[in-house]
Amino acid sequence: MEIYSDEQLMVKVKNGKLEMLTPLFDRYHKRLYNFFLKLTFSQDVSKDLVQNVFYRIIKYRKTYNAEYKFKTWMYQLARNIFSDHYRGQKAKFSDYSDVANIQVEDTDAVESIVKREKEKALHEALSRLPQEKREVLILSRFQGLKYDEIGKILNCSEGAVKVKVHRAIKHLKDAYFEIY
Amino acid sequence: MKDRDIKELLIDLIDGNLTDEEKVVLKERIASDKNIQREYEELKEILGTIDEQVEAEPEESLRLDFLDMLESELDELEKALEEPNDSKVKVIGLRLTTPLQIAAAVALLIIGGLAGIWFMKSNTEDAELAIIRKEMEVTKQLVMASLKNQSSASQRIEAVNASYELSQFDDEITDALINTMNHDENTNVRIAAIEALSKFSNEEKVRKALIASLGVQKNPLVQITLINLMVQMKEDRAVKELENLVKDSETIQTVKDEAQMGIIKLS
Repeated sequence: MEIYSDEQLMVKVKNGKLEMLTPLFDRYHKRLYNFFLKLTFSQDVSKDLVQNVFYRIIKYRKTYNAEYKFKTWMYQLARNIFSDHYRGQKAKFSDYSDVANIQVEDTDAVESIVKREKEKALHEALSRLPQEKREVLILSRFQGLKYDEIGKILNCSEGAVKVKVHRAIKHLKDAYFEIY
Repeated sequence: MKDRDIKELLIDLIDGNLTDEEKVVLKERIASDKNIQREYEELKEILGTIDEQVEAEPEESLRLDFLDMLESELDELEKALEEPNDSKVKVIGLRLTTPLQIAAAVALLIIGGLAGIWFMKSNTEDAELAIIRKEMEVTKQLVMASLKNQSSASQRIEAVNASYELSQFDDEITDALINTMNHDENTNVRIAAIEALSKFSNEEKVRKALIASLGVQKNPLVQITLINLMVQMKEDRAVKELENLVKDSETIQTVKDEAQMGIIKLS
């Protein structure tokens, strides 16, 4: 049951009721965590980056414009935070190499080896994509955002997003079948 | 249909975005063309694998860390509210001016009221219009008085917010708001002024002032407010000021990043 919309909550936060950020955290932290996890392949880094998003929401709360969807603004902050992180990291590592270490929740004992292998190949393929393609793919296919929502986040048209997503899928598919 | 167009539609087919008619055509092609069939099967597999992905569950410590952070931010905010912004000397100054301010406000109300009566009597115009004008005039005078006076930061924010009631562009108010945006000592007042000005961002004078202010502001919060506003207004003339911000060694990294994003979005 959601009494307040995201935007109503964020306006309250903007006006100094910081505690109203908790319901927003509960709504979005898991999604953001998975967004960063697919981008960084590191659980620790992803945790830090999620924390960073909510920290920036507090710090920049006055800049939130209630005419825009909270979700769009949040993803914009998340993208900025990731590119800050990525730029800082670039000097140290040429690329993310610990893809194989990514822990996938697996409680089903009878889950087949094939499925695990497919999953591994998918992550490996994902890591081979350029950052821009990976990002658009994550937003559209893993985070389930609609093309027009992604357009608002990336500041481009719905049609352009569709083209980008389709291209990224093809790139991913080619990489996947090279591995798998 | 060409092979390339067919391949374009395969993802739409899997996503269920095609009309029945298109589906029939496409399925025929898939059945008759080995190449396309393979492409279709591969796409179906990769998209299926993605759909099977389960969201990873973050550790509980993420939530606990968040609550910790929130608590310390709340403490900080509370502290900031307890400590008055202005020094003791100013508080005394404020007390001395308060009766004057009240007198000024009352006088303005009376003048406004009289002006209204005068409007009503001497004008054949619609009475309603006269009332609106009178109210606007009173609001305007109050806003101007508070912005110019030595009032406290919260009073100045109130005055800025009162300017929202003015639905029409007003030159004098605009000048006062621009002045506040660039010269008020309090960050929150400056941000409030920027937000108030953004309501009139279709006015060339306001746009120019907002762009120019990028070169004046030193506080990161104010800088970011302005940068976001430029992007919202799609004001590409701001690019040069944004570039200056990026180059300036005094600009903090977060602001540089925002400015860089702004440049990309605007150019």
